[in-house]
Amino acid sequence: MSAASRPKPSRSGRSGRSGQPERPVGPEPRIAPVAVPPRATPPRWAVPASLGLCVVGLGVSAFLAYESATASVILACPVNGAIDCGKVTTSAWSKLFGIPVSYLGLLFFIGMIALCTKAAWTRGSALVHNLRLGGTVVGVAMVLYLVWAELFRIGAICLWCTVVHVVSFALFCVVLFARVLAEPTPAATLRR
Amino acid sequence: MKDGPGTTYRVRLTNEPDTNVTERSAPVGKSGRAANNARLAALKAEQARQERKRKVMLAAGTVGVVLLIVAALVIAKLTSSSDPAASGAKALDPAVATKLTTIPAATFDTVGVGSAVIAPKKIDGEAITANGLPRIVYVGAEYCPYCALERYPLVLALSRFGTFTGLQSTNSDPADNAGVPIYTLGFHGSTYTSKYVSFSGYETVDNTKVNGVYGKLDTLPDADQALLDKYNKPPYVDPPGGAIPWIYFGGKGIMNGAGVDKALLEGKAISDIATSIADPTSEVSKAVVGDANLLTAQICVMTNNQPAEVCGSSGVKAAAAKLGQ
Repeated sequence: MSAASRPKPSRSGRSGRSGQPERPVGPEPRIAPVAVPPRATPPRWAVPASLGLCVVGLGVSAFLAYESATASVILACPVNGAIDCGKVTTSAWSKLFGIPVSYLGLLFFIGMIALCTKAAWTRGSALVHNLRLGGTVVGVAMVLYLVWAELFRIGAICLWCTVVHVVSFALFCVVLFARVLAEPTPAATLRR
Repeated sequence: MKDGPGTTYRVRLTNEPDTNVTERSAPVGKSGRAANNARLAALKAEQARQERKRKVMLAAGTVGVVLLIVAALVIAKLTSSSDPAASGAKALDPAVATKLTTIPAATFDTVGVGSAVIAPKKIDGEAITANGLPRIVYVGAEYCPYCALERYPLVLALSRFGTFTGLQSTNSDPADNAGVPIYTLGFHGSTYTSKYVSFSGYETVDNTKVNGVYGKLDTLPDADQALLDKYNKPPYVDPPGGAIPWIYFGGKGIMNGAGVDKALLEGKAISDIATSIADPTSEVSKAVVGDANLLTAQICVMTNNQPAEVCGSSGVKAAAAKLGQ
């Protein structure tokens, strides 16, 4: 067997897909690998859905924050034992580390609006995408905590708070599936 | 097929690190190269579809887990017979009971009146006794948050004159205090012995509503009920309809409401409260021990300042001055 036809290991030291030794190639590759940062295009519904949910959540949170700040009693919420907004929003569980939960909700949706703009979805860095998803995960965790507090500690449900909880959960779903269903932009190109 | 420079191409797909097809030799010629690229593209597309399917399933599973947690919370709430925080009374931990009933005299003296917010009011009422001893009557309920607050100083004060047995551990109804229970002591089922005073503690109902009604616990004897009806209203106490906790000091003093700021004890465990009470520098101690000194001073009025080591202590003297008696 001549040196030219003798099987040689690949540069990586591995065999090809078939398990057979690679066929010998020329001394220099004619096509070189080019690494391109991965990009992904979100589904078309991602921006309007996430932004819409953020706006709804921001509105309701702003209303609850106003109620908390002014000790107002205009919460349009029926009081029938199981449902009692005032009982929930004035309970000790309505604050976390001394901060009204409604203020935290307001900050959450302000931040999420910034992370859900079209620019953030399409041109945001990996950090932005991770912050967006991480933010919704934190939001859902907070929702679970508050639902537990309403059911087992306060003994009442606040309808306005429930709207925020549903919006937070929906936002989590939208962000999660938008990330999963994002169309990857070809990350490899062949260049001579 | 001949191999050699200029006759083969090496194609490398650098964006597919997971695929085994990272390197492959292609046949010579444009048509062969195109077919190879097409196969690779198809393979890539299939892998992308599989990867996306896996991610979608993972995402759906995550969403499902969240929904399951919410459903579990709701089901647990619907199937639970009562709120754990609103469960009935049980025996007080002996270690905690000992800590609460043996507060050092130095602690009482250090705190003095402390930050107690109300004091017993002097009255010239009906003198009541039992076995020759002046009687103290307490009427409260386990659901009541203010009763929960006032039991601490009352137990501290009475423990300076006698001994409790069978004290209970309970809590106020969270629903009666914006969702926050006050963990406390309970008099239902307990006994008190002293050579100075007699004590009757009534907890009229428990802390758990069944069909909207609390369960009955202690029933006042007619004489004590008559006493309550007569003295649990103005001019003896406010408000007009009366209130609990209500404490009658043998016709010499009366008090309703709590002398301890509710915010100090809300949601705290009894053992933590006991620890704080023992520390005269804590806010809890200043409130509870201060209130206890006021109650002690009121009891000393009933016992003719006996025992002297209690009624003559600096803390009690300071409290007596505030009583105005």
